[in-house]
Amino acid sequence: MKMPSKQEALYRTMHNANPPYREINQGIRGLRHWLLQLKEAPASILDVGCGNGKVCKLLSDMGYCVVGLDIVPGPYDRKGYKFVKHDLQLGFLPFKDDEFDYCVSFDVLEHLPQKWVGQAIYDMLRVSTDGIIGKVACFGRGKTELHLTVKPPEWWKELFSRISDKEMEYKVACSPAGKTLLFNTKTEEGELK
Amino acid sequence: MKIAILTLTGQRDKYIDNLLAEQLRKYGHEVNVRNYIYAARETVCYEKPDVVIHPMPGGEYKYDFIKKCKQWGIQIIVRRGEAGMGREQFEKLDENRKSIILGNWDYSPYVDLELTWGREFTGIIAEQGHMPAEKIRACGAFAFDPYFPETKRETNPVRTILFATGFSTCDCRSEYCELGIKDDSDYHEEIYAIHRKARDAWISAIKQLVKWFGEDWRFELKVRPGEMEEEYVEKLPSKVKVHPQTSPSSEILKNVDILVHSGSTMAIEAHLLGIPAFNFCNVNPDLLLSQASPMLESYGELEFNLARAIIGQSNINESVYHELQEHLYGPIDGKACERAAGFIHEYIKDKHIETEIPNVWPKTTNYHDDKETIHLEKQDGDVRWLCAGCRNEYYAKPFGVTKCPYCGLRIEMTEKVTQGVLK
Repeated sequence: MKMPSKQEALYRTMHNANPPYREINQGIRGLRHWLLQLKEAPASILDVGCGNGKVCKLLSDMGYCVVGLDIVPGPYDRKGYKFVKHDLQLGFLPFKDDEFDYCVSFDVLEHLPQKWVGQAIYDMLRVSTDGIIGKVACFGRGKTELHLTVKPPEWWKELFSRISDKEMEYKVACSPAGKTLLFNTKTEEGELK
Repeated sequence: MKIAILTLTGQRDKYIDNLLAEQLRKYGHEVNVRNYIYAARETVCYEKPDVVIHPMPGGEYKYDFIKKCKQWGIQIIVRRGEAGMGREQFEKLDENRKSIILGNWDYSPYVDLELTWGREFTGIIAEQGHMPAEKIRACGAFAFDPYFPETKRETNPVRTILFATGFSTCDCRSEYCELGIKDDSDYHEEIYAIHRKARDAWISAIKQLVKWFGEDWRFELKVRPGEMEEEYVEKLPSKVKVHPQTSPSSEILKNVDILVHSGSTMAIEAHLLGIPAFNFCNVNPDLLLSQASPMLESYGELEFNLARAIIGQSNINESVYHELQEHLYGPIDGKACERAAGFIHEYIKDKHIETEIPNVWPKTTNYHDDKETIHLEKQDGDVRWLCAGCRNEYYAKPFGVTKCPYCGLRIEMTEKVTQGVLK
């Protein structure tokens, strides 16, 4: 039997032993900002780093065709969407170019080592035709070593603008833990709500 | 659509570009494959294509070329002739090397689509290079398409060894030897010294091998583009058959039993044909590719391994081969050209392209930086120089290196060449 990697074991522990990690999905709050800008269902959406799968569930209930991807499966049932197990540090997203309309990713990119962050953004752009939507945390997570790339919002903005030709929109939000950056590819419908 | 594929070298690129042309014709496009060095400008001015498929634009000449084409409304698609590098290896390189690989000049305003090999390098281009992610497409390992579908190869009655050289800077002037690197960089001298040392070791080893095994083995040599065949013909015994530079490597390899290279992609080509290969005096800074074949440093090691190699059986490091596909080349499955043609067709199929191309390439002196020694009109002591790239004339002293004021191509006039010209 294949042994889980160190990262996989870490996230499995987080899901099993940490109730807030299991219950909260930062994407739910963030997604409400963007839902109005998405194409109507059944557009296809890939949720990179879907965690407990709550965003996937919400989107699939709305009629979207959803695929969730993460290093470990979340603790809840995965009815209504397809789950793909994949470690972003070990290779490219296992999908063809332009396979989805959108790629969403909430609080995921900061969990990668810095040298793989650009690669992951490129890969999310590769598999989506209409753009990417997401959020990155710009603060550390104490001793748990979960946030491997802790950078200010300006750093992330610069990285996105270097990699993508599409115009991006950003919004910096402040939480008790620190700043987070909301990002999305600009759509024709208008600016962020 | 009318598509012109400009092919850089006859050895590998032409073969692959012909395969790409075949795939594009399946979509109903009119495709011509033309020689870049001798016919690029003429192709554009006479044939007036809608789309040009161009090599990676490193150096002033190529940069100038795509800039002009774009101004005339032509869609420019770049097809990378080299795989680039995996991320782990790339991050270890110094800035000079990185800029050779990514391109010294920002070509993104003039390029509509770039076709690359592996996804990892594509991500690096998006992040650290000039093209945005939306305008790059990873197609897979172009260089190995000619080896599919796999065919059985006959072994020779006499052990035939091919030496494939890789010392492209050796016959250039040491201070300007690496294309794509800025003139004032120390890197020119550095890379020149590495190549020169390795070439000397090769020549000495081949001489010794011919001396000891000349009666029993057959020796062949393939000279890398950019090197002068004469350098080897003059120094090596006549028993070594030197292939013309234009011969495609895929054709030469089919008739040999063992390959000796210096960190070349040919290691993979040999593997696909079931030929054992050895990396002697590696000059490739990509550590992963260098390790595909056993690495040898001395004549003793070379002789030992050549004598004991099992003919008809590849000796590639399988895990490196797998890693190379994952991190460098992309899939080696013979379908890179098919995928590339699909991406190109997808990009151009609904485009309304209107071009306005002149009948003659305009004569502009964008690169006339050295006005003291290079003149547009003849002055005392000058001789006429004819640019091999744009075929414009200019005037300068009879010896040394000049940079063409019209296209930026650097030309060296040696005593040997000058004698021929002045006769």
